[in-house]
Amino acid sequence: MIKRKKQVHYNQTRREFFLALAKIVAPLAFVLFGSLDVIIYIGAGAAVAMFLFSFNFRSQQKVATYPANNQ
Amino acid sequence: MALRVKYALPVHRFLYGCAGFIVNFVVPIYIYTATNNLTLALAFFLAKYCASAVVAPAIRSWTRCKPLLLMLMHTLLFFAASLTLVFISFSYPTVLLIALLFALSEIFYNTSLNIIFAVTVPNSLATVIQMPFASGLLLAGIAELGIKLPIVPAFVVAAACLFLSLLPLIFIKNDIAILNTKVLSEEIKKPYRDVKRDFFHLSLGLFSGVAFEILPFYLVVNQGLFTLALPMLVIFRALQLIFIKVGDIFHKKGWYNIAMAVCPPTLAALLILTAIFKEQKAAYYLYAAVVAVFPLNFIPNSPLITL
Repeated sequence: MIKRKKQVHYNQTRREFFLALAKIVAPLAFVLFGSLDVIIYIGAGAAVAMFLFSFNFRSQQKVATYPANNQ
Repeated sequence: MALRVKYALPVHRFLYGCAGFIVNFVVPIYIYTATNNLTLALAFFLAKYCASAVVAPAIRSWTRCKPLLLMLMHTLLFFAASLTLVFISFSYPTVLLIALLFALSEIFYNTSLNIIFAVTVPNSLATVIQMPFASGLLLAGIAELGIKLPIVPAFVVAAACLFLSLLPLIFIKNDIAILNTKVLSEEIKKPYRDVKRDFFHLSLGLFSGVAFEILPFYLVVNQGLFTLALPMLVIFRALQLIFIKVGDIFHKKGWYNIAMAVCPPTLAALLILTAIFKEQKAAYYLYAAVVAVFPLNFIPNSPLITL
């Protein structure tokens, strides 16, 4: 159980890292383009990406591949 | 135990939401209105996100510490950041300092959150996730209706809410080990190194940052004032109830793929519409809809734990 707990914490840390890392893109986009509108459109693109990386295209099963149950 | 956990967690999340709202919602707006410098406000976001990305892996070994200790550190850091914010004059170094303090505070909370709450809460996951936004918007609604707090009392209220939010956790302190044991039996059995999953979390992080932290700031900048109408709150509450129910049905029927097909495209469409109608009142309603739909994204794929 102790070993598994460490593994889960590893997963949580990895997830937190990627969640935080991705957020950097938005203010950087403002620096690059000088527009807040661009940030909102990037957010919309991120929503589409969430769909692409979570929907199970291969299977006809109803279960998505990666639902974010471990948020 | 079940009874205590059932009420302690939502109470904590509601109170914490009042405080969290002020940090994520008000701080960048406060920096912007105080300096009229858009870049400085965006620098706050950038510094906070960078610090979070660095700190999260750095405190990995701390996650086995007592989570309540992390929660206490989170509260103290929040206090330090708030005091610095109120009593300091804004420049790039000071804004970076404030962002660092808030980022540390946030990451300590998220770390302890993962342990204390054992991530999942039975049959109310969506409710719990939405609690901060609900209470935050409620606070905004109160402000809109006339009880407009100056910045210092606002942070006093936030700090009070933070401390009060710790009290319910005392009731579940002895249950944390049991909660952890239960959730670990349902969690991923081994460390994942899956590119697709990582990309999902990158997308999720980017979207949630834009939707819940930058979008409110965006609306204030474009509309020139901090207004959230009462009708918007009513619609938001209605939408929230509907989508929590929808999520519950989807979970019971196992329609996770359908939820994923509905939720992210809807969020994308709402964000685009918000950008199009950014100077109109409708933008606030669209923002409220984004907040309401978001829980559909968190329908779990594993059986919920019965506490």
